[in-house]
Amino acid sequence: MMEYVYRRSLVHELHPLTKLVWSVVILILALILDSPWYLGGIIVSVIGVGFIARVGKETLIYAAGLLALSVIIFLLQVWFRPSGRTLFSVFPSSWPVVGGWLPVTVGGVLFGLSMSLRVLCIVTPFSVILCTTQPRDIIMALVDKLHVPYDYAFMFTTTLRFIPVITAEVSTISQAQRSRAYTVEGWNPIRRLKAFVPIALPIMFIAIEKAERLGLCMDLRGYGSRDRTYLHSFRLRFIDWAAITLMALAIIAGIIAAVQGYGRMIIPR
Amino acid sequence: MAPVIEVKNLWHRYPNGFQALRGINVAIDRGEFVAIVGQNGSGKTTFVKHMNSLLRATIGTVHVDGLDVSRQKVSEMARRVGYCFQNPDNQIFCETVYKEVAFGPQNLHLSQGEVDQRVEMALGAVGLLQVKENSPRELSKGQRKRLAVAAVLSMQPEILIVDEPTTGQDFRDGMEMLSLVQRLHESGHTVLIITHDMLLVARFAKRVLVLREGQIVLDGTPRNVFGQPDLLRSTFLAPPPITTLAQALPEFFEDTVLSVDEMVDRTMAVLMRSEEVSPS
Repeated sequence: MMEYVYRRSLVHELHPLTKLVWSVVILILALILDSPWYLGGIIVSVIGVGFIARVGKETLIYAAGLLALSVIIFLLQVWFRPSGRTLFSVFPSSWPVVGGWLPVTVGGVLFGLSMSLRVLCIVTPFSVILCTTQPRDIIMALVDKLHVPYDYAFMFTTTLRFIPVITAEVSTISQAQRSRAYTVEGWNPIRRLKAFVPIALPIMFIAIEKAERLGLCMDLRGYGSRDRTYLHSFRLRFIDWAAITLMALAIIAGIIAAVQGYGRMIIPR
Repeated sequence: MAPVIEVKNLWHRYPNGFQALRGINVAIDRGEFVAIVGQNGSGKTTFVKHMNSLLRATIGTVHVDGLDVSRQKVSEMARRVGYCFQNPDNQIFCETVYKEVAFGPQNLHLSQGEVDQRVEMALGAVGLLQVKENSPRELSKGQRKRLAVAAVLSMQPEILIVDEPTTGQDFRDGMEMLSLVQRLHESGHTVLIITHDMLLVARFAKRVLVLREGQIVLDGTPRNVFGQPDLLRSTFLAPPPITTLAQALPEFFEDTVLSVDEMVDRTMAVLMRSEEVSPS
């Protein structure tokens, strides 16, 4: 997951910068539009791009992984931003004392939907980018085109690169501990937190060790000794400009729509 | 006697589509010492992870002690199957060696007295009793590897699986690890080891399973398996050098030779015979 997958696709061919622009465009659109319908459209388009890039399965798995977070966001919105008609209450109004608590309203549900979709919209493009772009190309785009200092660009991509590595380690550690009859039982949050220690400590040691080794390897290969030169220097090609034009149109359309009041949340009475 | 491990037509396919096992059939009896060999990616680790339910069969069945493993929780299987992972640092997290070894028995909800007794026993078996109050981080790599063995021994499993017992260790640590595994086998454990070390196989294992692309291509005694160098070569394995040397001299050594001692004995026998035939 979130690892570069070599496939032949239009999206793989694009300049990393074009793909970064895409993620920013999606971010802006997701922020200026409110209606769950519009946000739903955006997320469908993002997953569509994932399929064009032939990493559709990876994108869907990643989006599904974010579902837990979406559900939490959804529930928070439902209960903290109630408005409009009440659909039902978690505690039925016929109950004594607590009756009518935690009402689920039409507005709350819509706000919840829109917030959780928004988060999905903002985060999912990164999974598509990481699956279709080699980390060194992202670095190059950041340094060469956006003039981000190399150290920061390197830090950024290394952090992203660590995620799949650490995920794999966590799964091995969890298997090793389960082989020692370790289980996480019950719903007591303090016990669950404590139960995390046998996984968290080994992963911490392993991560520190890996980071240290990475630092050493970088030193051994002359990191930071002088200005870098780059093997590849990609230019923005026709398809990049075409894609950027398309995205520019999308964002203009989005802004006009937002100003004119489309894409606003309408809470039915 | 019913086999302690019985695997029937076991197939495993990982979620990413990789077909790791393709129809494994094997029965292992109580008290056997089995070495599982094969190239990286041939399915050795995938195979043994089915013994304690860490992985579930895509097709086929695995029975341990007559129990259908796929219906058991990993924590339940931990009482019967002790699985030592390759890298001890994947599991070590306690402040002391003692606590590390006590983790397993505590998960089994044993009484404090029972836990103490088992920890002492396990640390004694691996020779780490004198460092029981030390931090595991202070131990050498070899000691940490033995600590990982103690950590599963303390659950008193009948079957012991050790993934690459000697990899990444110097000769002395490797030998200590092996004699430990040997002692555990002699004390009645059924032992499975995964290894790339053919000398180790020749010297310790009673039975060898050779895996290639998720299938068992050879199953027999080390003598039997190393006696088929051509088939072995197709899995990119080679018998120990002494065995290869003997195979290069078929006119002197008809049978498979497994150790230097055997070669010395046979050579002496041949020399004696030739002296008898042509007295000087």
